[in-house]
Amino acid sequence: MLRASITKNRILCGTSSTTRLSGTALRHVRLYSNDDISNPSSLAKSSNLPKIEQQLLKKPARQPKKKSPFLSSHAIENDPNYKMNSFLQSFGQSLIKIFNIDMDKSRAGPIAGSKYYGECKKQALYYPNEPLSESAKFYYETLNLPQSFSQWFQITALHYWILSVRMRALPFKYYRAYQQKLVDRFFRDMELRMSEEMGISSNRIIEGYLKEFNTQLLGSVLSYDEGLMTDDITLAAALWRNIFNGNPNADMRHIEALLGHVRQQLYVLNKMSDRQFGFGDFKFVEPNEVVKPLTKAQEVELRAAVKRNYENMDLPSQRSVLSLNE
Amino acid sequence: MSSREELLKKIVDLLKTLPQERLKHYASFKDVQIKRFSSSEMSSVSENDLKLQYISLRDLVNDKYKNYYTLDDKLLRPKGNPEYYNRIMADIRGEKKETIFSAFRTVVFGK
Repeated sequence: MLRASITKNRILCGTSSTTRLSGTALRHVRLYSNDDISNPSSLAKSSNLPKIEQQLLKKPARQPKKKSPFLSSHAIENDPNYKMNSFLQSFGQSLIKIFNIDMDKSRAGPIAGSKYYGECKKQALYYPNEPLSESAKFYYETLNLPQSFSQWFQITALHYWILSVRMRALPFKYYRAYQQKLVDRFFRDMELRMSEEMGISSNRIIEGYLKEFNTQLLGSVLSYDEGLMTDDITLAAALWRNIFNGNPNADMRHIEALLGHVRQQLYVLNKMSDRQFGFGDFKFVEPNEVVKPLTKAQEVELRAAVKRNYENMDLPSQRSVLSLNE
Repeated sequence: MSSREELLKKIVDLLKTLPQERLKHYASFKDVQIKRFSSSEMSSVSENDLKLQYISLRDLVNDKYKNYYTLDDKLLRPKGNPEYYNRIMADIRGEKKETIFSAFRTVVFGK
């Protein structure tokens, strides 16, 4: 049974395994529970089904030859400790105030086009001879997926879709702005990765690949949308076709683990307010963590904590019409 | 019938209950998996692994995760585009086809 003790901005519940809900406010929620949903990584590891390599390519997949800066070489995106100087800050704040700039729309660039794209990109990012992140280990070691550019694309496209489900729930003009920035950055980054990291020198070939990836993105988004609106098995089949490359020998335990992983991200996003999401407070839950549904009381407390967090934001650049309640 | 054969039969029976996919894809999950679990290759798999395969498949068919991580209308009828999923599902089910004019309107106005 869950025991909840509510402290400042934090809801703690009692018993065994630690889990985490993403998002700045949701990140403070730590839940412990005994019921039968385990984290996706452990679930996938519980199966010992013999692994049969899928022969997808005639020759080994092309691997990155060099490593470019994660998002760009600009300090804003490259330096986690970057701070704009105070003169520029006050000048910017004055401009926003004088011209009454719609900050929710302006925020789409740095949040969706940079922060959220970075979140999607890093989930399955790998470089030869470099240690894998926790989420990349889940995809390439636990689920035994091949390390290739197109596999990275498919996993990134899945995370793009997860975010776009939440973006649709923003007011229309902001949803369009956020989605546009995210997809633009996705394709611009793929183009750069292909030319700089993968060493493809022909623009014509890159353009051909981009068109192919665009078609694949449209197809996978449609399949995932269908799965979201129907049932688990339809969504699982969509994941099997797109992420597991239609592998006939795919492990059902792995498919279930990935489906649980996707569903828990959607649950966290469902519980986030527009304001939190619009301000970039979402982070994907790691595959070795498990989300437990919130009780009504926890939801009320969480909402109150979020409101307290955002109440003190009164700079012109922090203005927003996005809802704190839904 | 050994318990391994029973498990294989249960898996195949469960797979046979899946509805045919509404859209034609490059591979059908149902058909490919029925063929796989009906083949003799699965005879080398241990009973415990087969049991796990069956449990996972059963959980997926029973919508375990959909019911556990319930989503509300905030995501399923999004305010930015409330008809988005209805339009897609109507098209997939063949109830209402997108016309050239409605497609044009969607491209221009986004909904």
